[in-house]
Amino acid sequence: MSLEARAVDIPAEQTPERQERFLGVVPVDARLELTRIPGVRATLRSRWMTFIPTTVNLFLFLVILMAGVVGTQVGNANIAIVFIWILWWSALMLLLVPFGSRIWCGVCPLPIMGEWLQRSALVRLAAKARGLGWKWPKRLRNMWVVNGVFLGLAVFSGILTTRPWATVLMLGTIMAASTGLFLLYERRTFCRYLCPVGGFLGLYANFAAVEVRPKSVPECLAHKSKECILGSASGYGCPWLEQPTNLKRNTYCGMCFECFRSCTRDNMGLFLRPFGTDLLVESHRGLDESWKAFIMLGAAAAYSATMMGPWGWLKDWANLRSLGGWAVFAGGLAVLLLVVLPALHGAFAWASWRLGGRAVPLRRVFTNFSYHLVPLGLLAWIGFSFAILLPNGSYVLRILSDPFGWGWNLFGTAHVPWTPVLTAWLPALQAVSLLFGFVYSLDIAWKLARQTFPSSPAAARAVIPQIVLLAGLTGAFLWLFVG
Amino acid sequence: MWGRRGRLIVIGGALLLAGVLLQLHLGASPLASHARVIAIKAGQWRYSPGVITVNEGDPVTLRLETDDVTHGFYLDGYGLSQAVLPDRPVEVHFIATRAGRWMFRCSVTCGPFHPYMVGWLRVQPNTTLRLGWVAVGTIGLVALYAAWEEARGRKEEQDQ
Repeated sequence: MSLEARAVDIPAEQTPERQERFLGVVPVDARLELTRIPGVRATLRSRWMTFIPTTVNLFLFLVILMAGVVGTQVGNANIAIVFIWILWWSALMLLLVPFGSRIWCGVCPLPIMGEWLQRSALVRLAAKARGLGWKWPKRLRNMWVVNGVFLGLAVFSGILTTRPWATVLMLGTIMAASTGLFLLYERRTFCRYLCPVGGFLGLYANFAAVEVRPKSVPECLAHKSKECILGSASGYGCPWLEQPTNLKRNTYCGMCFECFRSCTRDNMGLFLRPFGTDLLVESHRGLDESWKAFIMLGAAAAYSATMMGPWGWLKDWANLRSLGGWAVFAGGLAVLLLVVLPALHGAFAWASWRLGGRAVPLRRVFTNFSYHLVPLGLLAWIGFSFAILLPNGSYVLRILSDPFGWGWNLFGTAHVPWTPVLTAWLPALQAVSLLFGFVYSLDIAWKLARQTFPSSPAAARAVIPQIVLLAGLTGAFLWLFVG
Repeated sequence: MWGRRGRLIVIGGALLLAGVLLQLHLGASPLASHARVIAIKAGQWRYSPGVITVNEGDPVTLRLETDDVTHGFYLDGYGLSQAVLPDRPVEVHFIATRAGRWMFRCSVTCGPFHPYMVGWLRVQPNTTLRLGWVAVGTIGLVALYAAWEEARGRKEEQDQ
C-alpha cells in the first residue's frame, strides 16, 4: 500500500518544508487509500452495505419513537434519552465525525423513508425518481437555514435532552418533514440544506481523518459522461448534489458511496488522511460556515455550563421551570452564539487585519480565521462528551434489557446498578482533549494566515491576535471543565 | 530552519519547566489543613451550595439532606456513594487526599434532569487546572515568539 499524494489548496509561495506538514510532522497531502485493501471497494460498492445498517438503524429509531410515546417518561430509564443523547451523541463526537467524517449520514434512518419513496426502491437501482424534483432556492444553498434550525432546537436543549416525549417529537418531526421534502425537492436536498444535525456534521467533517475523493482527477475530467453526477446503469448520480469529480471538502459529502457504484471506471477512492485537511481548502468558504463554527463552539460552552455546571438557577432556566427564566436562557444563548462570539472573533480578526497590513479584505480575514475554531470546537465537544458518557454510559446496559422502562429484563442486564466509569480520569481526559484542540487550532491558524496574507511577515504579524484568542478560549474551557 | 526550531524547543521547554516547577513549588507548600463540616441540601436538580472548596488533606464531613425526593451523592475521584432520603439527613466522611476539581452527582434517579444534577468539589491546589493553564501559556508564548521571529526574520531577509 502506498501513500497517495494529491494537491491541496496551499499557496504556491509556501515552502514545502514549512507549510505542508501538520504540527510540523504529518505531510498535509499524506493519503492512504483504504479502498486498496482487499474487499473494501467491493463492500462499499454493494448497495446492501448501505441498506442493512440503515434498516437496522430505522428499526432502532422506530423503537425509540415508540418508547417516547408509550414508555416511561423517566429519561434515564427510557431508550429515547439514553440512546440518543448519551450513546449516539457521544459516538458522533468521539468517533464517527473525527474518524468517519459524515459516515453517520450514510446510514441515517431519518430521511431514508423519503429516499425510498423518491426512488420507489429499497435496494435495487430505480430507473426514474418520483416526486416533483424541485431545486432548492439558490440563495438558501448554504448553512444559514440549518444554523437557524439548530439554534431553534438548542434553546430547548434542557427539555429535548431529558424528556423522552420531546426527543421523540423532535425526531418524528425531522422524519416526517424529510419524507415530505424528499417528494418535493430533488435528491437529498433535505440532508444538505435543512437537517439540523447535518450542519455541524458538515463543518466538523472537514476535520475528519477520512475522505472520499477521485483517485485521478485528470481521468475524471476526461470522462465526459459524468456518471457520478448524472448516474449510470450501476448507480445514482450523487444524492448529495455534489460533483464527486471536483470534491475538495467533506462538508457536503454524505459518505453514501453512491459514486463508487455509479463510476464505471472505479476512479473513486476512500482515503485516510491527516486531521483538518479540508480546513485549508479556501474555495467554498463562507460566513454561513463561520457562524456555524461560532454556534458550535458557544454551544459546547453553554451546554457544559448548564449540564455539567453547579449552577442550579441555570438548570432551572434551561429546564423551563419558569417561562421568564427560559426566555432569559434562550435569549442569552442566542446572543452568545450569534452576537458575542462573532463580535469577539471580529475584534481579533480586525486586529489581525491591521497587523497584517490591510492588504486583504477584512471579510476574508474574518471568514478564513473562523475555520481555526473547528479543531478547538470539536475537541471541546469531545471533552463535553466524555463528561456525558463516562458517568452515564452504564444506563445503556439497563436500557438494552428494558427499553421502555416497563420492567422487562430481556438480556438479564435490567438491574445493573448505575456505575460511573473512569470518572476519576475525567478532568485529565478533558484537559488533554482541549490542549490537543488548542495545538491543532494554532497550527491551522498559522496555515490560514499564510494562505490569507500576501507575505510571510504579514501572516506572522496577523496570526498574533489569533494565538491570543485561541489561548483565551482554551483557558476559559479549561476553567469550565476542570477549574 | 533547525536552528530556529531548536531555539523554539529550548524556549518552550524552559518555559514549561519553569511553569511546572512553579506549580510544584506552590503545590508543595501545604495549605492550612483543618476539619471541615459542610451542610449540603439536595433538591431537584441542584445541590446547595453547588461549589465546595477545601484544602488537600482536610478531613471533610458532608451533612447531606434533601428537601424534596430521594437523591443520591456520588463523588468522582473518591468513589464515595450515599443515598439521601427525605427527612433522614446523613453524613459522609472523607479526607480530601486528591487535589483538583471533582464533580459530585446524584446517584439515585430523581426526575428528568437527574443526569445533570451535579456540583463541584474543589480540593486546593487545583493542579490539573494550573498545569493546564501553564501548558496553554507556554504553548501560546512559544507560538507568539515563533510568529514574532518569523515576521522579524523574513523582514531582515528582505532588507538584505
